[in-house]
Formats: sequence, structure tokens, C-alpha cells
Amino acid sequence: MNGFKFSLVLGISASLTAIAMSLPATYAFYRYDFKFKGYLGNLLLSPSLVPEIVLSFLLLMYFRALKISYSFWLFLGHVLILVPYATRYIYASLVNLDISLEDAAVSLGASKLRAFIDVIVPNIAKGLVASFLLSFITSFNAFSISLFLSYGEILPLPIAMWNYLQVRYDPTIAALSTILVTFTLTLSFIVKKIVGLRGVR
Amino acid sequence: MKYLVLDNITFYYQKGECVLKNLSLSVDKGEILALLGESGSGKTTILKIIAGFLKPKEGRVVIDGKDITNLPPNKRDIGIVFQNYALFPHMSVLDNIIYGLKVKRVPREEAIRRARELIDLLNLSGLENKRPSQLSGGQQQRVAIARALIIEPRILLMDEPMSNIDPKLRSKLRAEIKKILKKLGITTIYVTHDQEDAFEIGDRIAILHGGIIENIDTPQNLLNNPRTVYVASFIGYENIIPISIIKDLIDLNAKNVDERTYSHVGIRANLIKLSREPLNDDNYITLRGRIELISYKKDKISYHVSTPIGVLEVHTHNEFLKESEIVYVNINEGDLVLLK
Repeated sequence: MNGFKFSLVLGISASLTAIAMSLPATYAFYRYDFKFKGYLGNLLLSPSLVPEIVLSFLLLMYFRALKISYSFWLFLGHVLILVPYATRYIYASLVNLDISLEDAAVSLGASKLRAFIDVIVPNIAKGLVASFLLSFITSFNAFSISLFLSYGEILPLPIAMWNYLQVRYDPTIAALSTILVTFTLTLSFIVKKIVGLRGVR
Repeated sequence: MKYLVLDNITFYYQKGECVLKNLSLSVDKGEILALLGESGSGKTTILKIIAGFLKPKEGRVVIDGKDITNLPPNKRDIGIVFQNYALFPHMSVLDNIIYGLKVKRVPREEAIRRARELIDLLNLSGLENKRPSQLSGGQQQRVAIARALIIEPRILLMDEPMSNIDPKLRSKLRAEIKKILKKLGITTIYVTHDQEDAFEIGDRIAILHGGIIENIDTPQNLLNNPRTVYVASFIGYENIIPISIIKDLIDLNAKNVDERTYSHVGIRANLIKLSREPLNDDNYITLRGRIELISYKKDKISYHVSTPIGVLEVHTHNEFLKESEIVYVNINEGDLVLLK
């Protein structure tokens, strides 16, 4: 149960952070042209291209060398693997948005930031919620990165389950798996409800 | 005094290309200027430069005597009606209209009071609580106009506002818009690629081609004297004849014209007269020709007549002529328009 709570907190905080980081970046990518745009775009998406196990190992070495506190490792690792997903979902909802909305708000006297908050964000809110839920599922199910970067007593759920299985064999894990499948399916269903076909427009 | 002045504007996205070349333009207060041009002529670029979304590489934008070239778009007090209207989909019609006042921190009650006048003027009452997606194209257009007008803009820019409207309704809407703009006395730049649009709504029309203004004049003068070959063919002069071919037939000296400044003459197909016998009138140039093609149009008959100066198109209501028949083409010298 501790594992479940920990995974929940980790998933929510990492997803929110990833979205908060991706939103301005994605918007800049969508709206403006600048130098090295292509390279930066690839850089943003690169965590999803490297095999997770390789990435996890590298992060482990890297965090140790940088002497980042242990409790922070897992969080940073999760944010890193979520950023590419969040970026893609947000980009998808921006593509469906009419960009002259921002110009309209600006011509009526709003600053660019004001226009972004008043006009852009409310119109991609559904995309943001979907992006959050999908990021959360990804974080909740991430195994190898959690295995490499978790430390101490409290472990994320997949690792806790793994440890449990290694020492005992009883139906607890099977039951838990059923619950998890239901949980994930429910989340996916909510995403579909929110975004659904209207997201594609 | 000129209210809006574009002074020697040059604009390009990359070095080497040139979207606008040393373009100058001025608009009087309360005037409606139609910017007419094909796509790629630079008309939307001009709009964006006036609005402040693009900065000219050279030249100045002046409103009411003040240079605003470096002013950001949200400080310019310019209302814009976008091509797709760009209404905020998550807000009600009323919230859309008062958005500009909300940004300026006008109290909501006062904003609503001011919106009320525009809602009445634009015939939008009853729709205040609807979402933009529930409105028809014409209603959305009026909401967009109200939203742009509520900030009492110094200039109203309209970007192809009729492109999302049923063609049958356009003429009626244009008349309504023109009436409202004149009533408010607001200086307007109306961008369009549709000639009917430009001629019906503009006090003056600027015809753009390749980043320069080919001609700017009242609709009447443009039709009677297009001045350049491009404008003449653009507004539908059926016959444009190189001056070298026709110069022996007309007395250029009498018109006090240096043939080197002009390259062509143009004449409307409906001003040419056809006859079976030569007219024998000194005012007319008479050419012998043969009818090559007859086509029937909605309200006239169009003949293609081959003459010594090339094939001329002639519109009449007479049906008496047959294909391959020999006819005389009579052109009144006064109807010829010199073109650069």
C-alpha cells in the first residue's frame, strides 16, 4: 500500500512538473522560428528514443557524480522520461488550435503572456488534462527507471511488487495486478472521454 | 490631413526576396480603403505591418502624426477582424465582445453597457450567451466586428471578412458593413482578393501587385482609367493592344502623348461597335474584320473578331451576325485608354 501511495504521489508530481516544463517549450516550438530549432526539438524528444534501461543506468551514474540527493533521483528521472510524452500530447492539441486567436487577443490590448493565459491555455485545457493522465500512467508503469533510481525503504509500486515476488509466491500480486489493470483502463477511458474524437476535430 | 501614412515601407522575410518594395500609402480619417490583390501580392503583409505583427525593414508607419513603427501590437489601438474571425471559442458572445475592455480593466458593468450599444447596432441581441460555434457565419462576422470596435480603435483592419460567407449574402452584408462603418466614421483598411468586394465597399481601392501599388483611386476612376496594363487586365479590360501595333491608326500627337511612356492601349468590349458597312465617322477608327467565334453570355453576346491589329472581343446585344462573316469594327478614339 505504501508503494501505491508513493507511486501515486510520484506520478502526479512528475507529470505536473513535466507538463509545466513542456507547455512553454512546446508553445515556443509551435509559434516561433529560431536557430537550431530542429536540434532542440530532437533533444526534447530524445529521452523517448534511448532505451529506458540505458537511460536509467546513465542517470544513475550521472546523479551519483553530481551528488544529487537520493530522494530526488527518482523524481528527476521520471520527469525526464515524461517530457517527450507531454510535449507530444501538448503539441497535438496546439496543432488543432487557431493561432490567430493569440493575435486577436493581442490586438485587443493583451500582452503576449496575458493572451497565452486567457486564450491559448483554456482552449488546450482538454489536451493538458489528457497529457497529464497519460503521463501519469507512463510514470506509474515505468519499471526500469524506477528500479535503477529508487533507494531506501519506500519503493514505487512496480518495484515493490517485483521485490515481493522474489521472496514470496501468493495471489496478492495477481490480485494487485488486476486492480492495476482496472485502474489504468479507467484512466484511459477518462482520457478518451475528455479528448475523444473532438480532440482530433 | 492624412490619418494613416505608410511611408516608404520595404519588407522581406529573407534577404534577396522582396515582399513589399518602397510602398507608400495614405488614408484619410473616416475613409474606407480596399486593398485589392491576388494571393502573394503582399496585401496581408501590409495588414500585419499596420497591426504591428510584422516590423518593416525600412520605412515608417504613422497614425495621426505619430510614428508607431516600433510600438508593439497591443499598444496600437487597432481593431482587427480576422479572416476566420478568430472568436474565442471558450467564451460567450458577450465575453468575446468585452474582452478588449476586460484587458483594459474597465469594470464589467460599464463594459456590458458599452457592449450593449454595439450589440444593438450590429443586430446581435439575443445571442449574448451563445458560444461562437453556435452562430452562423454572418453572426460570427458581426461578433468579430463588435469585438474589434469596442476598444474604439483608431483604425479597423478587415482581412477578407467575406471569405466565409455564402456568396449570395455577401452583397447585402457589404452594404450593411459599409453603412455601419460610415455611421461610426471609422478609418478602415479592407483587404480582399474579390473585386466585387473592393468595388462595393471601398471609397478608394489600392490594387497591389508584386509588392507595389499598381494604382490607387476611386472605383469609378479605376474602371475608366486603369493606368497600367496589369490593372486593366485585372479588372477585366477585354482588349489590350500594344501601342506599336495601333499607333499608326491613332493620332498620339493630338492627345499630347509621348508613346514611350505608354506601352498599350485598352478598350472595353462593350464600347466597340460592330457594323456591316464602315461608319465613316472621323471620331471612329474603323477596321475590317471577320467573326471568328460567337459565344452567348447571360446578358450579352460576345464576338471574337480578327482584325489587322489582332483578335478583338466585342460585346453587343445584336444577334444578326454569323460566324466567318465580314464586319467592320468601329472604335471611338475617345474610348481608348492609355496604359503603362
